[in-house]
Parts: sequence; structure tokens; C-alpha cells
Amino acid sequence: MSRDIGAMVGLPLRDLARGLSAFTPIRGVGAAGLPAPLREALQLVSGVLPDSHPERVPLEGVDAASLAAASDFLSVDGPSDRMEEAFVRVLASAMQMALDQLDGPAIPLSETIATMRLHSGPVAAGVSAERRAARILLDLYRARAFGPMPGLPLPTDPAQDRAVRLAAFAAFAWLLTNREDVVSEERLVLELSVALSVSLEAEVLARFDDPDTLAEMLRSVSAKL
Amino acid sequence: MPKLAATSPRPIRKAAQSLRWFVRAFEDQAARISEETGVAYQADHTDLARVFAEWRKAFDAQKPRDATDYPAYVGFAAGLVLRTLLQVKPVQVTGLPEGADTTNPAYYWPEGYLYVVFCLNVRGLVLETDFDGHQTPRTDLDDVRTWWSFRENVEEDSALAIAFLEHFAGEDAHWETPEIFHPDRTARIAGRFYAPNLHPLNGTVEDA
Repeated sequence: MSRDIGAMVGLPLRDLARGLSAFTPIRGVGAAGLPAPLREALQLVSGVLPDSHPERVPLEGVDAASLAAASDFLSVDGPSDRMEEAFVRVLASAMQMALDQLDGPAIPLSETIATMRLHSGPVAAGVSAERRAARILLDLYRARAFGPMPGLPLPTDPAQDRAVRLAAFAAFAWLLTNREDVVSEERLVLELSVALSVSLEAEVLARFDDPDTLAEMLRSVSAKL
Repeated sequence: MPKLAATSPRPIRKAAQSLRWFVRAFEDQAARISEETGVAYQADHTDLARVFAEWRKAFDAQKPRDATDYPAYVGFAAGLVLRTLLQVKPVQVTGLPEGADTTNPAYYWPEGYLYVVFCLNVRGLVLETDFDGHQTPRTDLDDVRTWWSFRENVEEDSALAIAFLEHFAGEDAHWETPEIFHPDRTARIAGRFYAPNLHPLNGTVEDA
């Protein structure tokens, strides 16, 4: 059912959910005032998108091949379209799990914005995987690809922003670290990446202004995982 | 004392500097102790990550450049882990067997027992596999009076955990400056002039 709705409107389901999160404040008292078609569409999709954190299998859809391709996307010059697609999908799943661990926003990443930003070229050739990762992370963060939709008439929530930044950092550090022999063990490594990022929270958050120091932090944390 | 089954294709001392090895080895140790004693433990991964992060900072701060000092540093680093475990307290005991004999150290202080056994086993494993060495833990490790003293002292000053682990491992402990690494050669030279006047086993350090 949920996949059908996503396909119907031509958007990844996470992006659809992210857009609908804008309606969350009016879903209760204000929904009655909406035009009938919009109200019905909202009710339809609300039925498959729970109010709080959606119930999902952590790292849903991540297998050894997609994870390897996602990691390669950060480490090779001239990554393929397949690597890019895997990177966005795996990053979205990793962010979902990380944000759940951090009690962050339920909607982790706009795959559409992420793909558009990656096509616009923050990935330079001839740089280390950590520097590439840092540039992409900051570019996606500044483009508001993570967390709730930009442009909503809602105040920025510092707690959500903290969770988004820590989750994104942890997901990138996890993608940069050595892979496990068994993909089912990757969940533990990602969980530990989040935990380690929380332990180093002040240092991690302080590096979001500068890609070079962020790259160094990503190198340090991924090596410790 | 339940052994540790942790292995790695890398030298153990290198593997032990990664969080995933640390957590798996710790949980393996807790499971083995639980199997032998019936004590149920619950470890928090976020707290274990904090232990690891704080330990790595302390570890890197005094890491010697001279490779001949590495074996001695293994013992010191294990003590740093014990100190940090005792500070962060990442484990809760969720169940004790009925009628547990609290004169047995494993029941007298189950969390402390887990921390000490883990650190001693990692220490022994690294020395054995990476440096062809060995450790001979003291026999009084089974004596609850040793643990009375250990617990009382480290609750007052967690840095003493480093010295206690050296002592438990059968080494000469540095009671006065436990948080400063003493390479082997320094210890040998210092030993000619200095004999520790603190003995922790029959009371607190201050009493001894």
C-alpha cells in the first residue's frame, strides 16, 4: 500500500512522508477545514504513516552489495550512478536508524534533494574519502536535506537539529569505516557509531562549520569504530 | 576466572583500540561470567562508547614512542580501562542467583568483578598473543577482603584502579602516581631507591 502511494506521485516514500509532515500540526483540529480531496488524501496517507516514528526494520533494504557500493561512492573518483543511488538509499536507512536512536525527527532525509545536490557536484575528484564525505555531509545539511522540510512556518528546534547533525555524522563515519564480514553485524557498528558520536558530541558539533576539520573528525571516529 | 574468547586477525592490541571489538569482547566476558555465576548483567552501549571514547583519549595522551615500552603500556592501558569503567558504570546487575554467597567476590561486587576480570583478561590476552608474555594474577584475587579494600579505595579515588589492576596482575603497583605511565626501565631504576609503603589489602590505602 505505502509503496503504491509513493509510486503514484513519483516520489520516494520518505520524501512523501517528509512533505506530509508539514500537515502534522493541522492534522487534528484543522483537518476538518481542508478541501475534501486534500482531507481524504491526507487521511489516506496518514493511515500508512504513523504520527511518530514509523515502524521500520532498522537498515531496511541494506544488503552487502548496496552497502559496499555506498561506501565506494565516498572513496572512488568518478563514482557510478549505481553507487550514487546506493549511497542515497543506504544513507536514508542509516539516518532513519540513527535518528530513532537519538529520538530525533522521524523523517530522516529527502532522497530527492540529496540526489539533486549530488548531481550539482559537491564531490571533487582527487580528495580523500573523508574530505569527500565531509563536503557532501555539509552540503546536504546546508541544503536542508536532513530532517523536517525546509520552508515551514515552524521554529527551528535545537534538539532536532542536534539529533540531525549527530545522526548524519554517525552515518557518514559508519560508511567510512571497515565493513563487517556479515552485513547483519553492520547494525551494531552503526549503533556504536551513533553512541561514539554522542560521546564526542561537543567536538562533532563544533566541526560543522569547516569541511577540513569535519573530515579530520570523520577520519578519527571511523578509525575508532 | 572466566576467560575471554575474543580474537582478531589483527594484533589484539590493535583490535582492542576499536569500539566494536571492545564492546563485543566486553559482552562476551559478561556472558561468560553470567554462565559461571548466574549473575545477570545489562550493559548500555552508549555508556560503553563513552568509556571507550574517554579511555582512548587517556590512552593516546601517554602512548610511548619507544616500542620497547609497549608491553608495559599494555598493563597501564588496561588499568585506564578499569578506571574509566568504574567512573562511567556502564553495567547494571539485573539478577543474582538465589542464596548468592556474598563472601565470593563475584557476588560481593558483581559489577566490579566483571570490570576487573575483563581488564585482566584483555591485558593477559594482549601480552600473550602480541608480546609472547604472560601474567600471573595474584591468588588473593579470590579473597573478598581484597575486594573490600579495592572497592573502598576506588570509590574514593578511581585512579587507584590503575594501581590495583597492576597489583591484581602480579606486578609491582605504582600507588603514589597511578595515573602516570612508568615505563619498565624507569620502574626498574626507581625500584632501587623506592619501595612502596602503601599496601591496600588489609584496609584502605590511607590505613596501610
